[in-house]
Amino acid sequence: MKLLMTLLTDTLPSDPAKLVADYKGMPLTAGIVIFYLLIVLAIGYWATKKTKSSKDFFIAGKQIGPIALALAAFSATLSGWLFVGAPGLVYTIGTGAMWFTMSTAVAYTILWAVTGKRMRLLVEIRDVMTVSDAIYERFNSRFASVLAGVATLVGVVLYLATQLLAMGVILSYVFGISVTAGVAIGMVITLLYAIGGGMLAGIYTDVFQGTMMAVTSIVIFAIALSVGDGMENITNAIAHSTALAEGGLGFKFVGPFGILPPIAIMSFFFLLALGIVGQPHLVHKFFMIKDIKKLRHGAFLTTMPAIIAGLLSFGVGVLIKSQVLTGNLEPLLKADDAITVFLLNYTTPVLTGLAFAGIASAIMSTADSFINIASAAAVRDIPLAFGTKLNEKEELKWGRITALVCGVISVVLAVGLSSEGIALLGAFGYGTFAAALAPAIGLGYNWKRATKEGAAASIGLGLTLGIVLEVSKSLKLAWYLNSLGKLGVNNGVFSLSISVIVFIVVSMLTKQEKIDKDIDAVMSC
Amino acid sequence: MDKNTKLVMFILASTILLVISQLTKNSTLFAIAMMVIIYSWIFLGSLKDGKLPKVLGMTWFATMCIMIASLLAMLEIVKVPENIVKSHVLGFPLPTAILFFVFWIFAGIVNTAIFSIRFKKDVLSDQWLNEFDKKTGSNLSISDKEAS
Repeated sequence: MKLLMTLLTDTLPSDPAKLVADYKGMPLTAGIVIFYLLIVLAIGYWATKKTKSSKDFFIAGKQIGPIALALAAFSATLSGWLFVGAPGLVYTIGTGAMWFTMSTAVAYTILWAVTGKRMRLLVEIRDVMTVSDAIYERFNSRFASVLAGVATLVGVVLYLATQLLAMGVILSYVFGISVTAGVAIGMVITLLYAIGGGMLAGIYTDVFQGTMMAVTSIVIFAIALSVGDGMENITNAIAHSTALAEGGLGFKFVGPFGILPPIAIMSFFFLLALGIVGQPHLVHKFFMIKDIKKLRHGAFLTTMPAIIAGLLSFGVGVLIKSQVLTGNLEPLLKADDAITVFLLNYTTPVLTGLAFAGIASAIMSTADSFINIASAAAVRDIPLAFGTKLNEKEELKWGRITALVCGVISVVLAVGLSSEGIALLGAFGYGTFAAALAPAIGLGYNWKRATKEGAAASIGLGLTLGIVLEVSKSLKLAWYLNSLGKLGVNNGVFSLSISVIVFIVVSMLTKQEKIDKDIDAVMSC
Repeated sequence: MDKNTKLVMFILASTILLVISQLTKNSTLFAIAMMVIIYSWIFLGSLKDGKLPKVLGMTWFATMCIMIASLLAMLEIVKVPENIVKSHVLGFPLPTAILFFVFWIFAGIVNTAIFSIRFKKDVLSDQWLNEFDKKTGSNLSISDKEAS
């Protein structure tokens, strides 16, 4: 019907509130989302019954197979941003936005080649459950390890708030409730399965969620092509639009770098590709795999669905842009509305339900991973700073309590802060983790000359630089705007580069320490 | 200086070039330095006794060259915006098609497929696992399936 309206050149609405109010299929859509949430809870219940120890809770009992690992890594990497933020970014800056997703061309190869084997070997010889544990075992430095633990704990709680807000927005559309209620419902469901079943629940919901994300993406991309009458028509409509004629903006929009300078676009790619080595919620998945030989197909199995899911962002983003430019659709009120406007205008209630469930999946899987590593940091890494270690039962009990506390703090932050505040929290995201942890983990486990002083300096500087630059940018501080801001430097890339340089230089300038025999075996294998 | 250290020194030099390219807004230098750094990290993770396994190394090196070449081609084409839509491949403007099909999908498949194909020879051979087991007292060389 809506398609017919488009053919009759009626302009379709793009205000999500109006679209939701007029949407006749919403009960069916909501039913599908509820059904999906029940499946997630059932998996959580099953996993809770199987979770007996802290090892089960934090690293899924080291019993994960290759497909589960791949789908978990895929769905934890590509959070709600891929489905909500990315189509909006394509709508705003053009094809260049795809470089975020295109980092998958090399990202999982780096993750598997640089950290996969070493992390899995490490867990065989030492009691390692977190990235901070891994840093401690490599450098024998409590300071470096605790610094990494604090970065992980603070970072994930803050980052979690941004995920929850996205979840709240989606649930508010589906159930016609407030965003605050959406945030609370999303968090309660995530906590129910994350607290009970820990990482075991997280991994198996990720398998279900990852599959759903990939399948939904293919269908949505196909619909986008069909509505726009093929990719050539879609791109030509944008390229030759009179609204984007000035300065060849239309041509640039569909070109490989979009309307931003190429160096700005390539920076996204570099940061997401190399920075993956510093993402605690991904690196610690290697501690969970049952058989080290099963690492074999992991990178491939993770990359393929990631490529498929990337097509969704592109298809929806360019289609909505072309529809707006040709007058078939009202301009979006907010770029992030692109996916909602697409689903409600061009697809069926069933697909809308599946897609909303897919988006919720993406957000929940990332949120669950974050909750798990935050609680692991709190019950393992922070006590280490005071020279204590909890026993297995205490770790499990306090792990669950901390997961609950982290979740509650995140809800309070997501609900209590303004959108500017949330944006500021988001600054403490991927780039900061990359700058703080990538050199110590990635180079540290592949270079015997690396020293604990190099690791501590790199983690400390990466963390500080990442936060200072992002906060300065968000607050539009004069010193920043007149220096790096003026040059258009990507803060994450800059911080990561400086952190790598500092790690190498400080390591070369300080005395090399003897590496334990078993750690040496991990690094030599 | 061992080979890992030499490669790390190369990473250091490339990273300094990357910072310079950011501060001087030099896209070409950034593109080359970025790809060289990324693959140097991959090579560093794949070194065994200071040596890069031949087939794995050659394939990744070739992929790196293809990615750099496609990046430079894209940078060249977009210098004149009108050229972007002069020709299409599978509905995509030519440089965008290069980005999608060569830089992303082709590289993504080759990089990960070669890792899978060469895993037992170049990433984690049974002999290496045996050596690891001997040094650490673990029993990784026996998979769970074989053990049961």
